Amino acid sequence: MQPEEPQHPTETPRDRLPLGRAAFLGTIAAGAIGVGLISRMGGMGVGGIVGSIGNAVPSMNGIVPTNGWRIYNVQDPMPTFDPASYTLTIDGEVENPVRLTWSDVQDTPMVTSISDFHCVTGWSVENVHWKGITPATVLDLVKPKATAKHVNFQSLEEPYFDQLTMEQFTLKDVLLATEMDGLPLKRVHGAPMRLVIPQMYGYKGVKWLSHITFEPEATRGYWETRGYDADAWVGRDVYH
Amino acid sequence: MSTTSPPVRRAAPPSTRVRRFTGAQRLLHLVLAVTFFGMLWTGLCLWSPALAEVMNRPLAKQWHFYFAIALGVAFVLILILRPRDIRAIAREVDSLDRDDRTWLRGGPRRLFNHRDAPQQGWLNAGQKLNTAVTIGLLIVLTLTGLLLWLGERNNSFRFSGTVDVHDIATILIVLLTCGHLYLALVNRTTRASLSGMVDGTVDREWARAHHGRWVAEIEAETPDQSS
Repeated sequence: MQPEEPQHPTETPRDRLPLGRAAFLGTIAAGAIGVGLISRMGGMGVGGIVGSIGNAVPSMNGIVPTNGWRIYNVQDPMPTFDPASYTLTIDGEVENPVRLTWSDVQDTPMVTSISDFHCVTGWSVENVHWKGITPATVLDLVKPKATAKHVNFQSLEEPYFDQLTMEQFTLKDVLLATEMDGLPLKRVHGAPMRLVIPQMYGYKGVKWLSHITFEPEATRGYWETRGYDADAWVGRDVYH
Repeated sequence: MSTTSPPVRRAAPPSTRVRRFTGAQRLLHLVLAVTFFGMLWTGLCLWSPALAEVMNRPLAKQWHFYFAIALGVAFVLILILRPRDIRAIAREVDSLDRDDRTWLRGGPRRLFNHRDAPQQGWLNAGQKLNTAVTIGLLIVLTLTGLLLWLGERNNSFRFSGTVDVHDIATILIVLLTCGHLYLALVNRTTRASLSGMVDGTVDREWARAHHGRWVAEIEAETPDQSS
């Protein structure tokens, strides 16, 4: 027979449970577990979820990030593309420096390529359809000298630029893209032309591309001089 | 046996105001408010395409970071200079007694109607949980922010879930702050508490109705309220 439960009619109203502490520590634990779990899932794309709301409500377009993209620039206002005045200069350690007008660019052979885009801050956009000029076409056109070891990409958005080695520039899927997902590149994505290098984080993919220079020496890019890892290879974190 | 009756302690009429928060507590709250909205604004500039051109990215990042540092430094300084004021909050928020739990079981209607609620202490159960979760979220935001900062410098700190948790924590803390602002500025039965964070005092009768046990405690400690 069970002993009768003792009665506690005099229980003090002040009997305390550490619920405040539990809420505090639980919030921190949820955050830590969240980082671990969501990282194992390869990211959840909260920005993308909010962005899909943005897609559904036209008036929210441009206010919230859409299709998972976040728009980064370093100078205001962002460059505006003018087809009449735009030129792409390719020079430096090359046999045949060129200055292409927008119509020259459009007459250059282009290919399409599908790749994932990864930002160093943690978000990604999968299956981006790019169309643009391949490095091989550029090399055929300007014929780099043996002294050309690095390629500088200068943006119309001064002073943004970044640099790849010749080996990195000729990696598979690298493009000088003029179209994204079947449409001409939008202003926020670097119209009319941006560098795409899917193997590296997005800060290497210079937007509003205006000037490509083949160089003998290495130079650190915009973000690299501001503390970013010069090693921008995607997927060197523990969960990938 | 003496026939004289014990001396009756005649309390002078109590002042109509009662001190609720110390200067250090109000200063910390003010710094938190300013830096929170600073971080929210710069964070929105980093997040929204429409605001990307209002404040450029390097500048927004820099200020987002400075606001976080300012909050951290202010907290540590106030903790060092006025440890008792901070410990008082920690102690109050830490545990919930039986009355607090009864209060919580009343659900959100307690925020608007306190008449049938059990008497509450210095902070009511909702305020305790709001404080605990808000500070917890601030720590989550600080740690994920630090990971984002480190991840830009070294790939081994870069996790794909970090930015998602930073986003989720931001959404939650903004929702809590909206509720907090509504109750402090708009809601008829609770907005009398605002002055507690402005000049440090609240109306004694309002406090008696909303934080009855606290008023009883301080009146028991200092029966003469004439000062």
